This record gives sequence, structure tokens and C-alpha cells, in this order.
Amino acid sequence: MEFKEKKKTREGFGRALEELGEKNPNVVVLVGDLAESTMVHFFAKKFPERFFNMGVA
Amino acid sequence: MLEISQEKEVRKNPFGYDIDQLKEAALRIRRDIITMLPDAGSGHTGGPLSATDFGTALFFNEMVYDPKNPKWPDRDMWFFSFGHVTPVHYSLLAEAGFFPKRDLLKFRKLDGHLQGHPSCQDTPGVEVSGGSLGQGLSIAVGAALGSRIDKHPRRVYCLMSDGEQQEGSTWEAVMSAAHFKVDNLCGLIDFNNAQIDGKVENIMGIEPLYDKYKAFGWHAIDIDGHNYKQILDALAEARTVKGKPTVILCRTYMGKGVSFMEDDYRWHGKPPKKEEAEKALIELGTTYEEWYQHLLNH
Repeated sequence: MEFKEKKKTREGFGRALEELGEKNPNVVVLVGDLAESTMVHFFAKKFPERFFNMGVA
Repeated sequence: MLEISQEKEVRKNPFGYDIDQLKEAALRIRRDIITMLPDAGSGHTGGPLSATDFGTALFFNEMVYDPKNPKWPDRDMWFFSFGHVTPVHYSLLAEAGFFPKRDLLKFRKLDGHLQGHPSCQDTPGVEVSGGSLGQGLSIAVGAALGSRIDKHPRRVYCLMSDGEQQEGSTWEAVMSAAHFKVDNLCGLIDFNNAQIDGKVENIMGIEPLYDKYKAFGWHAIDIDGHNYKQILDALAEARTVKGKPTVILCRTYMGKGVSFMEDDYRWHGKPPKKEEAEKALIELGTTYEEWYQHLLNH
């Protein structure tokens, strides 16, 4: 694996989740009121029908 | 069992402010909140400002405590279940005299005693450490039950956010409080309809909340959480309710008091920058420099 630039861990996570969403239509994301903080909002924007914000739970 | 004083006159709020005095105190609290945040560089602004008015009513009219003796056995108890609103919690404690106001300037600093989320090991007046949402009401029910076993006249107050009403653990506590008929318990919900990701009604709605609490066996009161007459009347009503706990739904605005923060969920979890704080403090009738000095000297 080659490292090209420094990024936030959560950004890597969020972008990877977005990529997984494209590759696999069975991927569904649930989040507890932290969509931006955990950066799953990339996924949410692209696949709104497969994204659920469950609130503080 | 704790030793309880039998003298009735002892059980009263140490300030007993009237509505005008409460409004003046709330203005000082809002100034404190804004002034302590820029240097901290992180922290919450919106929730503390929405909870300021009913918080001020509790500390300066309603609750029984002794700021010079935080563990006074006769005291009422309060729990900030939404622990992250420490800027208002600490400002209220400092205004009441639990510690000097200058300590607020060390908020979230290594050499201060005011952590971002409340820590009972560090801060006088903090009953339990907290911040993990949805936990406070369970603790408050326990304190209310314990007080009843001790035949203690205290009242227990649990301050919650509206976002916390999404938590399953909150409803376990709601059910147990009704089942055990803890009428010495009063919940207050800061219903500002905002949470970190957006408007509560858009993220995961909690309405009709009044009906939910009623259905769960509570006495419920729905008020304007910035109207002091309504707040004081609701607290007085709660004291007369027997056989069930009371919840007061305080309808509020996030960021109340500062025009560019009001009703904007984006102010949930960020502090104002210094320029923003300066702007806010002018709206609150002072300046950053003036209030910073005020805190240093008190």
C-alpha cells in the first residue's frame, strides 16, 4: 500500500464507506446523530435511500 | 443515612430572586458563556444559551443548596444529563458562588478544573460525572428513590435535551419513575428542536412528547422555556404533584440571546471565534474585553 497524503482517519472511513456503497448495493448505513462527525455523510448524500440517522441512540 | 436538618426555614433557595433579578442574572450567565468559549477553542454554545433561562430559575429561585458547602446533606440534587452544556452549568455554579468566576477562563484547560464534560472529581457542585447522553434520568430516579428511603425532603431535578429523548435508556428511566411514583423528581427538557446533525424533527422526530410522557404516567407541563413566569409557575406546580413525577417541556431556541446563533443547529457543538464572541457580547450589552476583565476580577 502506498501512502500519498495525510488525511483524517474519519475521512478515510467515510470515503471508503461511500466506495463500498457503490460496489455493493446491500450496504446500508445507520448513524447516531453523528453523520458529519463520522463522515458517513458522503454515503448519505450519494445513497439517501440506504441511509438512516437514528438520532441520539 | 444522611443527617437531615429538621429546621424548615433552612430549606429555601439561597438567592430567592424575583423575575427581574433572574433576567439580570441570566444576562450575566449568557455573557459568561460567550466569554469562556473562544479561548477554549472547542465546546458547545447553542444548548447552553437555550438552557440559560430555566437553569437560572432553578439556581436562583427554586433549588435548595449551599454554594459554600456543595455536599450539604440537606441539599436538593440536580443532574445535567446533557453533560455537554457545561458552559451554562459552570456559569450557573460560578454565579452562585461555588467557585470564582475567573475559573471560567480556564474552561477545557489542563490547569483548570472545568472539563468539557462535567467531572465530579474536579468541580464543586457537580453531583456525578457525565456526558454520555441518556444516562441522567436513571441516575436521578435512583437519587429520588434513595431520598425517599431516607425520608429526605429534597427534590431531584434532571435537566435533559430533546435529542436525549431519542435514547432507549431515557424511556427505561421514564417508566421506572412512574412505576415507583417518585413525585420528588422533576425533569426539565430543553426542547430547542436542534441536535448536532440538524433539526430534531428532521433527524428523528420525538413529538408528540407531551402525550408520550402523559401516556407513561407522568405529570407533564408544556411551557415557553424563556418565559420566567411560566417557568416559575411550572416549578411550583411540580412541587404540588403527588404520586407521580413531573416533566416540564421547556420550548426554547438554540443560541437564544444572540441573533446570529438563534435557532441554528450549527451552533450545537462549536465555540464562537473571538470576532464572533465580540459581536455577540455587544448584542448582550458589553464587550469581550470588558467581560473578560469582569471574569478575571470575580
